[in-house]
Amino acid sequence: EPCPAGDQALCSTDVPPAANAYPLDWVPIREVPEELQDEECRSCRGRYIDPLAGADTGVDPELSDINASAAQTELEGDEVFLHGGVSVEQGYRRLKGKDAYYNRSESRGKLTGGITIREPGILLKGQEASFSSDTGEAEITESQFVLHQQHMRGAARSLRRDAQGLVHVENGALSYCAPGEQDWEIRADEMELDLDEGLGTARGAKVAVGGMPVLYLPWLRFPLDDRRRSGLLWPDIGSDTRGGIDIAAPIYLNLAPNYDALYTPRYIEERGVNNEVELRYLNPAVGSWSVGGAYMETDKRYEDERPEQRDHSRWLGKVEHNGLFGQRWRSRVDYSKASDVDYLKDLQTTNLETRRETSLLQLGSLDYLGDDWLFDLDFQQFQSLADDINNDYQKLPQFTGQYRGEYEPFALEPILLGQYSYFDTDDNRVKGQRIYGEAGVTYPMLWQFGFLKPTAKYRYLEYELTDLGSPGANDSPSTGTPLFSLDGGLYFERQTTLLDRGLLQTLEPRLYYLYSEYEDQSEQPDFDSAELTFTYNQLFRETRFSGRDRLDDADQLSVGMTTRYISEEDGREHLNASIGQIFYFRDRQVRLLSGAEPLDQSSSEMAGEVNFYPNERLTVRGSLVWDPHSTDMNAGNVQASYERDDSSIFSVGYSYRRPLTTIQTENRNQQVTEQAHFSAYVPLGNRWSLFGAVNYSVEAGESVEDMFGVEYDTCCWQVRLLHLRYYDSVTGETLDFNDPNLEQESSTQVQIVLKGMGGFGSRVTGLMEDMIRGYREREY
Amino acid sequence: CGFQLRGNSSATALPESWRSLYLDTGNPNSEFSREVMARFSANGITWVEEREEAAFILQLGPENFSQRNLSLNREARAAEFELTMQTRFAVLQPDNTAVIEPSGASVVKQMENDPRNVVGKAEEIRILKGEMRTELAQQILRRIGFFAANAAAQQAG
Repeated sequence: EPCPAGDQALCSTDVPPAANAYPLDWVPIREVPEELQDEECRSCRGRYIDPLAGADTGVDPELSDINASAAQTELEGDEVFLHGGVSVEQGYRRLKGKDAYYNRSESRGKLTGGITIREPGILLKGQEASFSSDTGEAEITESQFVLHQQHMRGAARSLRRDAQGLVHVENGALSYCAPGEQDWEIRADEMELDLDEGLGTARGAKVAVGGMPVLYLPWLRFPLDDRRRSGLLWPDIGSDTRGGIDIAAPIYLNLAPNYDALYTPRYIEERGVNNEVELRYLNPAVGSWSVGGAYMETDKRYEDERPEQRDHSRWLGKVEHNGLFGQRWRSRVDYSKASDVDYLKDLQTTNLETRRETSLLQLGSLDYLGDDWLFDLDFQQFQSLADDINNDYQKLPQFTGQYRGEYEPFALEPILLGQYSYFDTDDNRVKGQRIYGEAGVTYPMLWQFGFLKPTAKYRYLEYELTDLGSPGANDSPSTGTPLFSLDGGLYFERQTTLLDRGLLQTLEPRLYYLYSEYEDQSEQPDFDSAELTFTYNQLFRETRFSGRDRLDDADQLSVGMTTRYISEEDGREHLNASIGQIFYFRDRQVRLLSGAEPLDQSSSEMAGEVNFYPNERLTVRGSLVWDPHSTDMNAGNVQASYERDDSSIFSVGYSYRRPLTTIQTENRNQQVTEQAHFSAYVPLGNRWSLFGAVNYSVEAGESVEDMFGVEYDTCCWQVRLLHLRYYDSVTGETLDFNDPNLEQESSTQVQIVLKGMGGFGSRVTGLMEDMIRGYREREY
Repeated sequence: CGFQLRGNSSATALPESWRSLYLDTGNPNSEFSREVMARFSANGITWVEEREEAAFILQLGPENFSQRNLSLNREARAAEFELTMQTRFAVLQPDNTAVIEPSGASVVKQMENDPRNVVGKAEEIRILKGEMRTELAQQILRRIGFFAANAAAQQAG
């Protein structure tokens, strides 16, 4: 009888030799075609090969005709009986068995005797199956199954595939390990596998290692593909000097497709039990919301360390929200509040970056994104997380309206911006209202060979102040000053070759002239301003200050030059480098701190920047700020990272900064910071990998934070051990990493990953992603 | 040394056939989308309202901003931040075949921190974000401009 081309094995009535050789489609590596021998295949010494992998999945099999063949066929009305080597095809679906029965009017049937049901990506085997050809539902007893793409195999007393394609496993087991290997499996009373969503759920799950059950989890959710899943629900186990043994066991409640809850009781040996909660809600009408927090009734260690505190409960509240409505209204909430300044230091022990925060943002904002206008309403304050730093000014609120330019060349464009702010503070400092406005015009001219943009505007600033401190002080200072700028640049280019590669090199000189009248501003407060870090970008800014508290005086010319090397193949930039300097024609009298001396140098530091991307693997970035007057390097930074195909990553960095005017030094003598960074993740052969990171303070001759770890990797599981040491943020008298009184903290974390399932110790992954630059966890 | 002023025959001049584009993005009114549109408009691109009317479709992802400590001062607090802004983009023909496969663009900046002036430094980050958006938009424009000019030159020659 006719057989579709290429599918000889499937419609032959004899048992095909291939099926005998690979009962679960598992092919040992020596027989796997070279192009399919990926890393996973080498690690597992084989792989699942799906004979239907290339099948056309465009047509629903329920809509396809049924072709059946058998040694013997009987027809009785609507009922069909097939005996001996039954083979049924319906679209891309294949059913095989010894005997079959099919009712045509009900579109239902039954298959018995060593049955096989296949669709692309899934193989179900068993003793007996009933199925519906209309819906694709099937139920199999004493089944074994394979999910090819997920690299998973399993067994079930009863396996049911429902009309939606969900696979329900009863009294079954699931494992990523190669057939015949017993390293681990998940056994569960009930399991549900959603291949479309890539999610698996198990109830009454036991983790068995080497055939022995070692852990019971009443509820477990796991990913079935490489789509990233937040918060895998496995316990975390670690130990650190901030609290001793630390075990967290998350419990996830999937309440509805668009909202869920996560409760994580966390036991910390020296402190107590911290109850951590996160609720998430997503709805187009209200945006995405995440509300969370943590509460510990009494922190034993905190009680010992801070006996002067009356309340030894610890808590954290957190709200995050993002919304966009009708493409016009945008809302955002990012609010965190902690019980005390040490909360993150003591209890957020697995992310150094967060631990070193000195403040928590409390922000709510609503923006209107109009065609011509942008309106922002912000409420912003910060909770200080340091004993020695007071809470900074609060914006309650700040309202900004701004005309959105079109940048249409050769057209006069208005500049309009108005801002109202109310600044409040808990301290005995000046507070009050501020109005800032600017109005002017700009006329952008643009040609293939360059651009020229003159801008003229007037800036105005006015305050209504209270709590001035001194009785005679002006409580409503105001100032206004005109500003003129002319920005122009040219583009030169030439063809060139470098290392046999055709490149286009550009040379882009740029001049920026800035003039702004001087106005005395010594009566004005500093609510939200800081001196901007001097970098190449500063050359082309119209202000030296962030915020709106100072209208700077200027009569200066910036000269900059950029060169680029662009690949002629695809237009990617292989290298860009810029260098430039500002020449001042007058002293800068406007300073942030009233009473500070004018800046009288006739030219700025020189600023340079280099970005080098010779290929996909290597990235080098550098920047330099050099002072020709003192011939000192004031800031320097180099970062290089290199990735290899074997997934190794190396990164080195060096950063130097001499704080000059920008830090409000008060009575502290700010020191140079000079730090080197190194991080790497290096596989050694098939099984072992080493990783580590060091952040080294050159001026102290001491490692500020370092981490190292080792990974052992097999086909279906992985274990990692990580050790971390760091100096905590210090306050008070101790200002040196060499201080013998300074205690070094440390932490040890272990992670066991059952591939395809997640596993214990996601903190290790978090720390690795945090500290190894460029490292991203692979998903199994 | 062989440098010439860029002219209309330049390898980076956007050809006529590329001058009507449609922007396909989740948030067309955001600061970043507007920045990209403005930079392209300034270079002679017309943005069309209907996907079908465009010569090409620019698919633009959202701006992803992240911040990390670059170095620590003697109080073990951040002395410098490293700011990164990334996005992804692709260019499609009206029949949805990719002309430029999904690609990434990123900008990295450093700034000095002052733990005692959180609000002032938050304002500095706001300024830098604006500049980084502009640089990202220019990167995308240069990339597409170069590709389009090359494609047009190959067709012509």
